[in-house]
Amino acid sequence: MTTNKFLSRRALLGGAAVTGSALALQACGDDVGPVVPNPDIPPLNGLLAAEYGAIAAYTAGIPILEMPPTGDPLAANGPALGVIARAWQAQHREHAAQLAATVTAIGGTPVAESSITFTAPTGFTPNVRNVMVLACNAEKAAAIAYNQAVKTMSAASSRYIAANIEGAETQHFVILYTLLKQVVAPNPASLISMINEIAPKAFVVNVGTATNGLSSIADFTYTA
Amino acid sequence: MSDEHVSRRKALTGGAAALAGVTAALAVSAVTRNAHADNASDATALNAVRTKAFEIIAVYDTLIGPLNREPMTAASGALLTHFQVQHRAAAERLGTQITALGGTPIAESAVNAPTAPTGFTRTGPNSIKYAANLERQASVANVARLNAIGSKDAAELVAAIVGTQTQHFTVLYLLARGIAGPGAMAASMLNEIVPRSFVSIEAAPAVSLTSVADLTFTA
Repeated sequence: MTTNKFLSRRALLGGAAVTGSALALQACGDDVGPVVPNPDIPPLNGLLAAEYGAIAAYTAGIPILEMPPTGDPLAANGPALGVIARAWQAQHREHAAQLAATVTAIGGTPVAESSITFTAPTGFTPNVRNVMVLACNAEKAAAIAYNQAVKTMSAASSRYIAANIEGAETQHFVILYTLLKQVVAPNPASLISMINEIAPKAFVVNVGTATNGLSSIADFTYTA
Repeated sequence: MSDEHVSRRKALTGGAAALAGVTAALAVSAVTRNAHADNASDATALNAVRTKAFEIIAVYDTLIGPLNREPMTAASGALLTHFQVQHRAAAERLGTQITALGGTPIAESAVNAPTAPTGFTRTGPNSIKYAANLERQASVANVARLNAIGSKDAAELVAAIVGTQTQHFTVLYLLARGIAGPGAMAASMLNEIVPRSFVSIEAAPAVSLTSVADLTFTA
């Protein structure tokens, strides 16, 4: 009797387990629920919109750098800063391309560049310093936004992409910030000849087969 | 017969409840096991980041003393001291996170300064180059680690550290290449060169760039 009872319970549990599995499989087959969008699409699209915003801001600022208003005390630095701004704008475009490709790859629709417009902030008047301030504040905000996005994203691969770009935004920020605070000063003798060495890469780690990351910069060698 | 039917129904109901309990327990157990495995893996990754921070701290220790002894290189010594403080802040916060994940933070005393690289002689310019190389290598290695980190808090911290290491690298790179030098305010506002230890940690805004006010426009 005891044995039968035991066997009976074991059989019941076994049979129920099989039934449960069958029901679960049936549920998968018959009742296909709505496809849940990848949760990383909105934050990635938010970052993409920010990149397009940065591109638009540089588009607005570059002409001021290249042709500063009469009497601008930093007019002499404008053209060199214009070259740097164009290079960094190109890096933001690389970031945007990477983000758009990622959004597409996970089943989303990348936000359109045409949907993003730039509005100058309150108090902005066109001069060289103000363009630098505008860019500095925007690069800082972008770096923070990337870091905050890392905390919200579900996939490690999405977080990797965000951090890979964040490390470039902080380079832009620190250059502008230290120049504006006058704790670092450009060396006129080498600035123009090495202008492409100022934050030279768009990412921290190379993306794909490109050599667009800090990972492709050779270590310094030492002098005796 | 009726009793037998009731009894069978009771048995089925009881069995189903038991099954649900067993299934739930197994599910919880599996989730817990996975969580423990993920936490252990994340703690290992964070310990690698912490080890790198301690290595840089140790190398800077060997560089700062000689730099500070020469008036011509004392500014470089002060800069590396500022960056070293930020690396220590990173190491400490990593230690807290590792502990929160159930891991054991590697002790600073267990980490030795790497052997000086080939061709390195102790001069001011070489010291800046050495530091730049270390910061670049660390940022690249730490970004790569993010592909294997599961915890969002851990990932946030590593990203916040990477964004600071690339700032260190950038400043050192500009100095090493001779593209820039100390500005008029460098001596009095040295801490404004990379002003925070982290880019953004939600729980620690005071040490994040989030606490750096936007610069204002001039008329």
